[in-house]
Amino acid sequence: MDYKYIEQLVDRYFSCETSLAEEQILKAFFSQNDVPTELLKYRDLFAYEQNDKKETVLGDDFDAKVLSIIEEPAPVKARTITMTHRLMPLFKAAAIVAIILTLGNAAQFSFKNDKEKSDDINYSSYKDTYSDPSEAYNKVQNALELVSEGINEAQKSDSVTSVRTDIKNDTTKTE
Amino acid sequence: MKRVLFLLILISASVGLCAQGSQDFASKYMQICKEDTAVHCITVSPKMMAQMLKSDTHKKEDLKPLIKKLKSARIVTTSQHGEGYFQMAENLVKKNSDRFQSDGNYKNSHSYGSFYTRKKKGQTVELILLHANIKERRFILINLTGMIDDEFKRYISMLSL
Repeated sequence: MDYKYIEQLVDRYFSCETSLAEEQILKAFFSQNDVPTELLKYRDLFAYEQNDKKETVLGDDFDAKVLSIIEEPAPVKARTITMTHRLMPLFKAAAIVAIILTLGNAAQFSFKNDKEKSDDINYSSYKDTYSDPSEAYNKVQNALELVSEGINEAQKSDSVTSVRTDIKNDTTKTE
Repeated sequence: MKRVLFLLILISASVGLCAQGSQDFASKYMQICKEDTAVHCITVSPKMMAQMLKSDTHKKEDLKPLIKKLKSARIVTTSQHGEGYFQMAENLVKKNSDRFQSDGNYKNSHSYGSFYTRKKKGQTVELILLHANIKERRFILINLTGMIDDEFKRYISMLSL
């Protein structure tokens, strides 16, 4: 078969000289199933419209279908709620409270023991002024001597005041 | 899950705060005098007390039973305005009157002082001496912690005799 006419039309098409009628002839030619192999390379160029048409597009009834699905009332399933289900939040709250109380009590108990051991004082924060024990010893010795003097002085003044109160009591009795 | 995590963090934070323990009187006093350069504090920790007992530093043998009973010692000194610092310390004691009880005082021509103790289950665990030297205008605060029982008091009263 001679396809010279088609080849001429193709050439003219690329030279932008074809009319609309001639382009229709080309489209009709390339849309057939039997296209010679030497012209097969131009097929996609002219048969694209047919391929596009084959692509699935939304039908006219698409909107109607979607709207009908949306507007359809959702099925409501009846469920029976048991008492345990109903009281579940309460149980959860009670469990949380119980956990907090248990942890609190445990912490309190452990700290009570720790405190008893350490006389309430956090000794870990203590930073020694002296690294040499003999220097520290001298300071402690001076401090203890001062405390000793003070205790003896306080005891003296206590005995003086007690003697004074005794004398006062005796004099009031004799009067 | 977030709530549980938040609760756990809250609990651990409060637990951590509780675990810090309280301060001794000298620490409280030093907090007031934080920026006062005239106030000096000497600290002898329980660790150092133990080291003192182990080492051969005992010049006076009669101090050994006293140090054995002590856990820590803190000595706060000022070389000026002794009366003022004494008053400050007394005010602090009054503020903490539920913690410290008066345990005697003395006054002579050159000095005066007050003793305060903190008891736990009937046992004295902290002894405070506030001492003011009138002539030298010095103030000394001695804060001892440990087992300050009758034996300790007997030993210490014999120390200066």
